[in-house]
Amino acid sequence: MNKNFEIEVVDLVKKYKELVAVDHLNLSVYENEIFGLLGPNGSGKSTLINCILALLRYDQGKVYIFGEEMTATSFKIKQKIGYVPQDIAVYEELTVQENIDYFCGLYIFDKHQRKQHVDEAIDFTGLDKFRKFVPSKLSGGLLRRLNLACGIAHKPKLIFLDEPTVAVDPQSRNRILEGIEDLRKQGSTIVYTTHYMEEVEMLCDRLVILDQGQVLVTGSSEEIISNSSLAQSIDVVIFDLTDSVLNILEQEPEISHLTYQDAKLSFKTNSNRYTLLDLLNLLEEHNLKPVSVSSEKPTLNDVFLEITGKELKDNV
Amino acid sequence: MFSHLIRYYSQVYFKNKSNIIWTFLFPFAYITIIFFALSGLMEPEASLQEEPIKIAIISADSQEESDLIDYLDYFSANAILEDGELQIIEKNNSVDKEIYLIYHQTDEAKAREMIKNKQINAIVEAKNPITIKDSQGLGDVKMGILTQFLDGYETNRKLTISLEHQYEAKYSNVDVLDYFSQEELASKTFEEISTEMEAKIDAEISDEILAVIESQTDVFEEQADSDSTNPALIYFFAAIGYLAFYPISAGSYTVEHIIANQSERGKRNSVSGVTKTKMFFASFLPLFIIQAFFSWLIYHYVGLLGVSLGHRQVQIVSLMILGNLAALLTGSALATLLPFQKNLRTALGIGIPLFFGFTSGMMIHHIAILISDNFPILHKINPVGIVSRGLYVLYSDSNLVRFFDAIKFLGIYILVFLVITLYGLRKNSYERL
Repeated sequence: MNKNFEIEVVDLVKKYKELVAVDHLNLSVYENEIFGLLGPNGSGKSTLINCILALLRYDQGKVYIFGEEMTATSFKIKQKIGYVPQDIAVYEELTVQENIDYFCGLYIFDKHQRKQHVDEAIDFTGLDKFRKFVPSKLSGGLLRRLNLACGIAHKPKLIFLDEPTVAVDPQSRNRILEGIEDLRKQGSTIVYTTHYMEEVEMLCDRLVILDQGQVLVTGSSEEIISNSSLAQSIDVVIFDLTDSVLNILEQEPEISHLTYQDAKLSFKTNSNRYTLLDLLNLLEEHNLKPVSVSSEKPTLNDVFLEITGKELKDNV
Repeated sequence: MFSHLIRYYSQVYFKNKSNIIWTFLFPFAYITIIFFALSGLMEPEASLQEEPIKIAIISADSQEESDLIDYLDYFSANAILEDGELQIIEKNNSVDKEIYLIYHQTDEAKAREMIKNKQINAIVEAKNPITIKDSQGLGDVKMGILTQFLDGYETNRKLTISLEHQYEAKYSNVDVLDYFSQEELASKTFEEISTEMEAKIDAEISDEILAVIESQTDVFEEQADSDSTNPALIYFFAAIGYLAFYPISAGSYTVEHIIANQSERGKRNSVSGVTKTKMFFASFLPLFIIQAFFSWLIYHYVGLLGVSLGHRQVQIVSLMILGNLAALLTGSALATLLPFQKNLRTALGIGIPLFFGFTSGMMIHHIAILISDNFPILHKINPVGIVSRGLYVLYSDSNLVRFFDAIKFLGIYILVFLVITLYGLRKNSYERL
């Protein structure tokens, strides 16, 4: 167990009878990072979170949070955790302010301190105008913001956000994403699950892609893309391309799908082994000047599709 | 912390419209409907004064007939058949007393002809035990009342016989030397000795006789209870017992919102550092207090309707409150035992009180006797039955022996379901969510 990790999961196994939902899974989350959990439906994301939070019993492995083993009765650890579940988990009978105050009160006992925390959470989520509203009077986006506010009002050190932007309007979504970035700036560590790839690319320092309860790949989104076998597409408009240059390119093992037609040179290359810069250097050596150059890198979505064989958004 | 939880759980409960309906409005609506439905039964005197029960008394034993008529004369009148109808010829010794029953002494053949001609409602044979040989057009209510009158006679007779035995036994072993010295015997006349000894024996045995009366009354009332109790009382007490025991779903709610495998709120609450036991009691306590307060209100409301449950307000309300406690804990135990079957729990929350109400005679009063005879354990543990029997004994008994029996059984029930609930709450993580 490494003391520098906020969360460390070691060889975790969770079975539902014959179905292995989490399969010998290992992962670590560092302090003050936003860690993304990606995976198609049924990949084990929610099960993993529930095991980490000790809500679910697991068959094998250990979970450490803040350097201590996490169990169902680790109340001291739980006091430092915030949880925003995927479904709205508030009391329909209480107003926005009362809901936030109730959940904050499970962690903060001092009334004055709590009031300050509640006000800050309301400001943070932009719910000030809706303090006296009951949840049934709020739009979907505002409800999501309330759900978030209830989970973070007590300023937890570690926050689990389970798809907080599902079915949210763009305005609320941006507000939530900005809020999550602010939470990290305030010192929190965030575990974030989502189906939206662009959110992961924008927010997460590191991420893990899960499928069938196993970690398929982990790292920053750049690392994951660059380590993937997916090719970068390069298109160059160039007149008078000589056969010798064309032969050199054809001999390059990292290049594939090479064509030259109507002054347009096109090929695919593994982004980290044969780069656009290599091509430009070659052209310069042969005194050739391209008219235009364009390249298209693979996205995280392309990588996800390649690794899991499933389109992430289609599974939402 | 605890006050924070109580404050919000109370608010959640009070602000829920369905709780307002089921906790606050339903009991009053229910008891009002029951009252009007049973109003004929609750005030049998009124209907009886308008139309007394008419019976023919046929004799199998002249002494029995004489004793029965002596007893009936307190609330009935002798009548003769004149112009095809019974006409009162002699009112009882107090003209101010109301007449609930008219009797006519005759032979069996004549009585059968009268019942055929609808001149009487029943034929009663004066023998030991007293028997209703035939009846017509009485209906359940009047039949119940007639049976109760006759049971009263039986109880009276058994008590008298028992006392006579006790009293005679006491006198049969009397030794005059136990009460007087030789000198006193020599100085007093026979009449003086007789009178003084009788007074001394009377004083000595009076306490014992009182105890005999109490014990015999209990025995006879038990018998009367199992044979035929006024159905109106059984219906009404069972209805109140049902009301005391109906908030099972409210009990389920106290657990649902704090357990991770029952709701998203439960999941969120479970992730916090507050123990579930603390949350449960914080959720349970305001609910219990509200229910207890409403039991007290129901007691007074029933009084306002003109139905007297007896003068033992503290015991009656305590019994109803214990019924509430049993219901709430049944609900909470169900929620821990059946975490994933919310629909089943809802069905049980409605069905269990109805089932217990039915088996304690809420709809058909004879069911209580059938259950008692054939399923004695169910009869003993039925909380609606315990409450309704408790109310009945508070109404009818001079002592609290049977009331404390009811409290004892209810206490055991409450303890069992509290243990189940707390055991279920101890589980902190789950196989599935």
